[in-house]
Amino acid sequence: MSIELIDLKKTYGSTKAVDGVTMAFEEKKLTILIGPSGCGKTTTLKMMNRLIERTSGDILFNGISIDQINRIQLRRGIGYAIQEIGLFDHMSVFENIAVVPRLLKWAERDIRQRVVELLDLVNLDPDEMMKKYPAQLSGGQKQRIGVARSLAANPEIVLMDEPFGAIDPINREKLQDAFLEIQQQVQKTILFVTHDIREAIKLGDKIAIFNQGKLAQYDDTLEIVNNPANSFVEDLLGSDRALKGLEIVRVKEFIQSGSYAMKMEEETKVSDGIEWMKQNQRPFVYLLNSKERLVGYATMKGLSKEDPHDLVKNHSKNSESLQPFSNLLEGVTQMMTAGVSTCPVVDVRDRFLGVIELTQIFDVMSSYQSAKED
Amino acid sequence: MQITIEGLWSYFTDNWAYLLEKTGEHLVIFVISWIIAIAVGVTIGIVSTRPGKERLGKSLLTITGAAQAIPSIAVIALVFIFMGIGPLPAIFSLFLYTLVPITFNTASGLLSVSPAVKEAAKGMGLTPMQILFRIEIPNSIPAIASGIRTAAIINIGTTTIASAIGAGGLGEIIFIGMRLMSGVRIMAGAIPVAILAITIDIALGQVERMILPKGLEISKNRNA
Repeated sequence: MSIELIDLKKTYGSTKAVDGVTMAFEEKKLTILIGPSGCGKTTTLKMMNRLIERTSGDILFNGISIDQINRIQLRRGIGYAIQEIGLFDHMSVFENIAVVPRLLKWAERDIRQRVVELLDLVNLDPDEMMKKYPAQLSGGQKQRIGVARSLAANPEIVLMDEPFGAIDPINREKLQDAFLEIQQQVQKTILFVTHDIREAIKLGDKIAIFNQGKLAQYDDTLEIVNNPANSFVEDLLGSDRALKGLEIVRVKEFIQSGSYAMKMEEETKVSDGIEWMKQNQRPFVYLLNSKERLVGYATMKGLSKEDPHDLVKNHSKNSESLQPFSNLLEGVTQMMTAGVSTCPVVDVRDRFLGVIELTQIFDVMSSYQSAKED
Repeated sequence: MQITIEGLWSYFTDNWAYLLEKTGEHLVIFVISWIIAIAVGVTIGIVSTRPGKERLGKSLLTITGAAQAIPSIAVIALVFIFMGIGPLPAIFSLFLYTLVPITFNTASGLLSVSPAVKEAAKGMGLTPMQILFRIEIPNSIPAIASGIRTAAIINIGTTTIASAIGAGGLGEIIFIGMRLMSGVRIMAGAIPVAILAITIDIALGQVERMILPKGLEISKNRNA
């Protein structure tokens, strides 16, 4: 379903909360609405399910004016999640998620199946969770239920108002990661309000930046990070813009697949490892087992003393690795922490895919830097 | 005033029919005024707290909060001035007096449902009526039920006093006892009132536990 805002305005007395916003949201993408408090982002969001009535302008769903759509039906067709979550304390987790499907008169069997599916999706154990009550859940669990509830009736559009705003930073990161995975699976048109620029860059396919009720810039996330339209956007992005930009670039685009690893067989000896390094002119080698799984690494110095199989035993947990979906910021952090300039990339089963080099990441960063100087 | 167990016992055995009749009157007056007060009080509580009327609800809380401090005898005396004596003025004054805690608790329970919960419900597409009956009222059950229970206890006690304006009931025995300086009669009226009050309190306590949604019971125990 397409959503368009046309010269949307909301005034309270003489205050212009939203002052002529015109934009079209991209379907199946996550669009962030961000800006300082009072910038109109939340008001804009809430006008879309008519929790706030607009003063003028129009909102079109598939070209149909919001006025033509019954308010209650409209809301039932749009998912809604808020920072305070607003779980219903007197209802079990199951009942909380089932609210909208029940309003839509789904068959009880379908509802049950959907609840199980959604709990799986938000990474909670359905059997354990369904019968629990909100009072028995942790903050992070409640938030996940809130997200599950907003997706319950399989709406095409989901409105989220700072859904992770009240969560501590560590759990927040986890929820964001989980949320990205969920969005990859469900592909909803999500409009997501936040005031946290890191969250915006991490989650958003597109970002709409609001300032004093007006749209300051609206573009793809990468484009915004690369080319802030004005000093307001630049300030919002912060001076560490280049570092933040690393967060949206995935490791998978930079995997080097040259010869970095040696497969070990039963008969592999120390001398084979040394020979390999000499031949490939490298000071180290990643060691793979017979199933191509990364099991460790060896340096020239290390190998002169030990047999590679021993090395694997001794160093098996020692080797840092990244996954294709890790972002470059995680990559640079990991390499800096480990004090290495090359990091192996493995898939979910630990199979070796290649490496990523620190110098590549620096190249990406300097491209942001030069964009700023332009 | 001599009160002996034997004296009391013989009064009970000799006058059981009369006592039963007075207990019946007492119960009828209590039940009628209490039920009407529940209906009216809960309604006022709901109407005054509908979206957009929250300020009305809050001023109602202030008024009913203060009204709870008015002594029951004052209400009865006032009603007596306008309506005279008999069961009807008694029922009316009891209704007025019991209305206060019920309205207060209903309004305060409904107003204490978190705005986030109401916003979530609204945003999900519940109609105002569905929000009221599926969200707000279930969440306010602890407050509403305790208001109704308190009202019942106050009502049973106050019904005793209402006998002063010719309502009948167990208070009548007490008032006669006072006039005759008969401790036995006073006790013969007071004991059944106490038993009635305690029994109804316990019974309503049970009902309250039964209708309390499980999720709220859990959160109550967590907070305790």
